[in-house]
Amino acid sequence: MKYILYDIESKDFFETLGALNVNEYTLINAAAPVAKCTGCFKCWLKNPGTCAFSDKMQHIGTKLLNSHEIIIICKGLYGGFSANIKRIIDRVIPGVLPFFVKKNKELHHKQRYKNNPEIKVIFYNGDEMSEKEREQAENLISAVALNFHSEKHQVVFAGCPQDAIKEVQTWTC
Amino acid sequence: MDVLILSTSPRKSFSTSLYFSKILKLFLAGHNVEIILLRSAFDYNRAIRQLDKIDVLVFATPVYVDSVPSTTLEYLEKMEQYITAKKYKFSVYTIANCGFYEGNQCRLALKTYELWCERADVKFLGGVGIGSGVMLGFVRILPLIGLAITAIQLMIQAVVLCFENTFSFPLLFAGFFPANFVIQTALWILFTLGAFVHIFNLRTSIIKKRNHVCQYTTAWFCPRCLFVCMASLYWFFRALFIHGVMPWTLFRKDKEYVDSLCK
Repeated sequence: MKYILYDIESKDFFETLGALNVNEYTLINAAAPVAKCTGCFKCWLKNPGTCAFSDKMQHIGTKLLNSHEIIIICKGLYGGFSANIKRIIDRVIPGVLPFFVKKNKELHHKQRYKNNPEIKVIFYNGDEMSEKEREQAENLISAVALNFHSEKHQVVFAGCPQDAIKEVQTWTC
Repeated sequence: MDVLILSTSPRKSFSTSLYFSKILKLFLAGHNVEIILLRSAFDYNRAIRQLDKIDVLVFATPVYVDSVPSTTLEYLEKMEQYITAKKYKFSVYTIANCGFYEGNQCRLALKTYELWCERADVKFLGGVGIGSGVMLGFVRILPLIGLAITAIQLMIQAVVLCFENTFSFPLLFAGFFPANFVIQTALWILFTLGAFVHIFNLRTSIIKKRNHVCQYTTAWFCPRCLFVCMASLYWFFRALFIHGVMPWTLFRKDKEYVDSLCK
């Protein structure tokens, strides 16, 4: 499975994205309202592997961490994900175990599923991001990839959403 | 000096960020310090009403997937616009805590606040990154556990003396030492000492309004291997006693979805 997460509400954007040959990708609109992670740990302890909030993102951790490729089209905010995308990223936590493993001389969560998705992130407001924010974005995506046991990741800064779609096109062709 | 501490944890109870906020408030005794839990629109409105009169804003934040929680990001974005419009000029410090052992895994969350400050045009003066946050949040109840065990020991001793028909208070307490309470309290202080010291140093920087280069700490007197063992036991016991979930169940796959993939 492959996923594209995007945080733009515009219908045009969805149609342009849908018009690409992305049949093998499942599109996830992060702008749709879903519950936010409250750090309750029930996804690790009460109902292991499943988020406590029973909405359409309940199994997102399992879906993304069992996928081959995750493409995130996102507005860069303070050198990180937008709040909408972060809402989904926070809920990926049930996909890993609460226990620890040492990786790169640091502790990280153990894998629940033996899978290493490739993570590609496009920040579509790259031109508005400062040099420091870009540097932070690259460091952040490396850290997220490490925590989600991704062995390959890529960060791209696009000037506008349309440029981001062009980039996605080169990846999905 | 007027200080506002915003505890940004979305957790409803037992928040480690709020715990560290209270420790900082204690260290800042004598100054006008208010703590606000930033969890709802009501809290946000309360917080922004304070911004015109404060000298220092302190964020006490948990780390969710290497950054700040999504709820916090939403409020930060709104607050940035508000501060820019009002042209407020206060200093910002941050106390970040993460569940991982290494305090420097808070670095990206601290950097997020620094970059927020640049956008909001306020001064970021550094902060503290504290590792083992979940553990330090838990060990604060060790003295209470010690006290409970001591009380149970005393009750058992009282029952034994009653059966022997020799009960008296001097006899009950003769040679009694609350070892459990003392040990548990000592463990709480030892493990949390690093956080206490670093928060105290931050408090000094806040009072002097000086730049506090981001510093990192973790549970003191607790090597990484001990942390890993204790954390695993903590999860097993918490799942078993609070949720009635067996240890091996914690490793299960999300069956509903994995089954749907097979179909």
